[in-house]
Amino acid sequence: MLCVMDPKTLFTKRAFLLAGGQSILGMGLIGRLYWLQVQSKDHFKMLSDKNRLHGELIMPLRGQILDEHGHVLAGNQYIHRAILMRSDSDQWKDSLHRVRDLIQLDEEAIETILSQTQKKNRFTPLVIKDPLAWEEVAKLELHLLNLPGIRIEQGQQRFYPYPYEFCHTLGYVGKPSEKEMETISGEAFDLYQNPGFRLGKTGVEKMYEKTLLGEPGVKQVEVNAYRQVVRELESYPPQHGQDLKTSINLQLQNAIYERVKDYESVCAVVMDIKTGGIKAAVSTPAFDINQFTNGISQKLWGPLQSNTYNPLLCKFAQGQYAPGSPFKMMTALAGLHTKKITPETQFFCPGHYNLNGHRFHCWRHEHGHGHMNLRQALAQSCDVYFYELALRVGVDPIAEVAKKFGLGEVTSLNFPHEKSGLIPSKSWKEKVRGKKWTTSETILTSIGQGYVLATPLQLCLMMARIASKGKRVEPSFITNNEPFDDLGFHVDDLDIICAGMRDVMSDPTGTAYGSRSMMEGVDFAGKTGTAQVRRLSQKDRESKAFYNWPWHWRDHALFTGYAPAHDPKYAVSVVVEHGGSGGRVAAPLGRDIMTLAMKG
Amino acid sequence: MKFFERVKYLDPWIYVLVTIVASTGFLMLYSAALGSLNPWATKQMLRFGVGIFIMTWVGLTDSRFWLSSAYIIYGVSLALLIGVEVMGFVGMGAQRWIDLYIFNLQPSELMKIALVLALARYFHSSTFEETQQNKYLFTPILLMAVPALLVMRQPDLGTAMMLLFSGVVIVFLSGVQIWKFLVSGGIICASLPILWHQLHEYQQKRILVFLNPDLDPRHAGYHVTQSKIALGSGGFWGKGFMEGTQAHLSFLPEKQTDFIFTMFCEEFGMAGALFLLTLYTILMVRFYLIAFAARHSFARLMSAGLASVFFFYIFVNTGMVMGILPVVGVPLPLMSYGGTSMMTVLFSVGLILSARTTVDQRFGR
Repeated sequence: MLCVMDPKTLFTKRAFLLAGGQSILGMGLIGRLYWLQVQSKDHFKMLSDKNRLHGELIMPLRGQILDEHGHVLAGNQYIHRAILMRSDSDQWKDSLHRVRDLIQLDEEAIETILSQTQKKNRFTPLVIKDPLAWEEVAKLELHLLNLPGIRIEQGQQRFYPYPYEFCHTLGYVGKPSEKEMETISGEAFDLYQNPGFRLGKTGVEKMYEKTLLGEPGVKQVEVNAYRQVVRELESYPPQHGQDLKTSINLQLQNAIYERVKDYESVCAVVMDIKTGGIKAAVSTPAFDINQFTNGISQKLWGPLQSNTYNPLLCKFAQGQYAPGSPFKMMTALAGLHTKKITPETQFFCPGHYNLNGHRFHCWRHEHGHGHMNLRQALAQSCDVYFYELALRVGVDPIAEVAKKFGLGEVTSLNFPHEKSGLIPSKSWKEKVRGKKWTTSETILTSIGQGYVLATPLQLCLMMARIASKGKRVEPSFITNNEPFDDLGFHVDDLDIICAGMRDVMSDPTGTAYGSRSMMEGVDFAGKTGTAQVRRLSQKDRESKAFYNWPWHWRDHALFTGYAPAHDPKYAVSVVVEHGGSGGRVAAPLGRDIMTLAMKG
Repeated sequence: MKFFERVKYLDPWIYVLVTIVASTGFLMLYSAALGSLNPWATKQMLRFGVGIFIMTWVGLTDSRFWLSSAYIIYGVSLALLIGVEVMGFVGMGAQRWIDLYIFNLQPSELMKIALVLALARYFHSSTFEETQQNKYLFTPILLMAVPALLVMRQPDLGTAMMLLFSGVVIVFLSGVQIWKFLVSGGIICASLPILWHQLHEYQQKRILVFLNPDLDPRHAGYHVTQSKIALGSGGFWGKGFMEGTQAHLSFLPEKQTDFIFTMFCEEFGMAGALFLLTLYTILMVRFYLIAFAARHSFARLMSAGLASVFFFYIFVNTGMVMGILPVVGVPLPLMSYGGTSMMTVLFSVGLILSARTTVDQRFGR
């Protein structure tokens, strides 16, 4: 049924409905406004700040590395670098080509930069050349107005005044690698991306990275939607890296390097017995660490890698050698400690020892040493004495003693890629080789051959612990003043060992008497070692053909010692790779180094 | 002269309100230009001046003139719409303009007015009984649908929706049974999937991104995301005149046109927004009062219809910048920078003003 209505009334009714509907919609709008501007105001304020505020990183200065007297071993120098900033201009490519012509960049460099532009966004600065030579800076500055997109940045760069002497100890810094970048996120990522940022890669630079790096600062700027800086706001200054004062003595390190640099391959460590601080640590051949800061060129890297004398290996911490005679101290101490012998116990050396049909030689194989006690055996380095001793003690107690004196595991220094050496034992052989231990292996172990391996750092540590009369010395690049714990050995036992070592160098019967101290009132103590690299056949032995063997067949020459004998201050260990004879080659070096150390 | 006697019917409230709102617009354009009258504020003021003149002139005309020429105006608009399809001037990636040398004519804007006039005319001439019967609905639907489809092809989804909505409003006000609206609504919902496929890809994307702006906050969702940030960060009292960081630092796009409300809210906060919306509401109230008082159907329907168009402009624009409606490019009347918009809005207000003079008149069918 239709009901006829007055159009005006109908209209009014409908219009009111409509107006009502529109009012409700209006209310909805206001509600939404309220939600956005009152409820969520903080959220949007934060987002709006996030849009417009940008933190520009201020690089912290890397801390210097100093020697014990404050001399700079690793410092910073001002440099200039040329940067490509694509967000500055669309004409950056032309500018880049003009720069190439101005400062003679090679095509390879240009290719590298262009490939980076594919991977990184426009706001990431890309390095064109770092560092720039003064003429290059001048040339670019002159034309800078015509080079939109190019910037010249001033920065600090790591510099080593003694790049060869300290190349292994200090290590070097370099740009973060792809792998290192993977583990970084967030704020640290921006820091790592910065063209001036360098990471310690090895040595002290890496070990104390955190101290040396410091904290970056932030310069807060306001940017527009094109990321152009509109104005600068607050600045939070960076916390520069702390300078690191090491235990190293610059003069000593330089003097040692000077002494050994003409050998093919040598390494030496000098340690302060009272503090465990490393006074010097040298490894040759050396290389120029300044070349690594901005990425070493292939031209320089190739020869370093292929060099037979292995310059890239840090021999004092990463080289593992059979210690030879210096290990006899461990055998001796094991004998005394387990009470299997006394200082008076004698053994007879006819120049050889037979075991199960095999003949083990003493180095003085023609006549032997005759009857000897421990002190004499150490002084004259009789092998047979120690064979006898070891067979009575057994390999496991020897291994235990060796471990207590720092051998067989990575030291607390924890040098990057430090090796642990090897101290064999019965259980070790079962586990690793799957075979039973044999007595002939005990014999080899007793004189530091066979499976035994140690790094020069470990040998120096062993020496320090002996010379300190059984204290648990811990090696470090920082001087430590806390006293060390006791290892639990009788001082009397250690006294005998030390006396023996003193005789080595100060007694005419000692194997290194020829390298005795030249200083008034100061005696040295030590032990030479000759580590076999290649087995001698009877024929070789008789013909003495080994004197003319090629370099890498020759025995390693080792020396470990301490000075002064009556009040031990410094422990030293030296390895001359393939040097031949410990007494002839390593001991003189050891003496010279100890003399240098004593002179300060 | 009868012409000038009508001056006393011109509603002074409307003049005041329109001027205040437009002035707020000038203020925002000044701020948007980072403290300069150029390039926007001066031009807009000029247009407003011309527009006020046109509004007055139209306001003094006799609505009977518009009644009789409604269909002609509609026809011309439709012809121009088709013309744009055929030979349009391609601007902004869409065919919407005809270059008339003096200014760009947007036929779709013209159609907004023409459609209201035509539908008002149609229902003015029909009796109540006729409005209740379906067969008499075909013509209005046709009148709405044809231009809407043409506009949608341009593509201009926003204007097409506006045309349809304004048509629906007038049909509603004419007394067509309410249940028919509900049924049509139901049918449209059911056919949404088909309609969806008719949309251009970018329009589909607009709707998807509207439903979830985080889908593409850098590109398609960028405008709305930035708009909400700017709006919300203004808080209740706003950041202060000329202190709108989002707008001034170029984070807010289209700040002088579609997003001028956002910029206003960033600088004057919710307090300012409420003030502005109150002004608009009072204007709407004035329009409705005129519609109620008018003596004949045409005037009533025309005024209410144009008032609803005005409402839709405001609702869609503010809803869009607040993220509750998809981005469809609808200007905020009297404030957004743009010549055509200003002209058509003031022209429409003029038509509403002219409806007031019918209070004491008599009309025939």
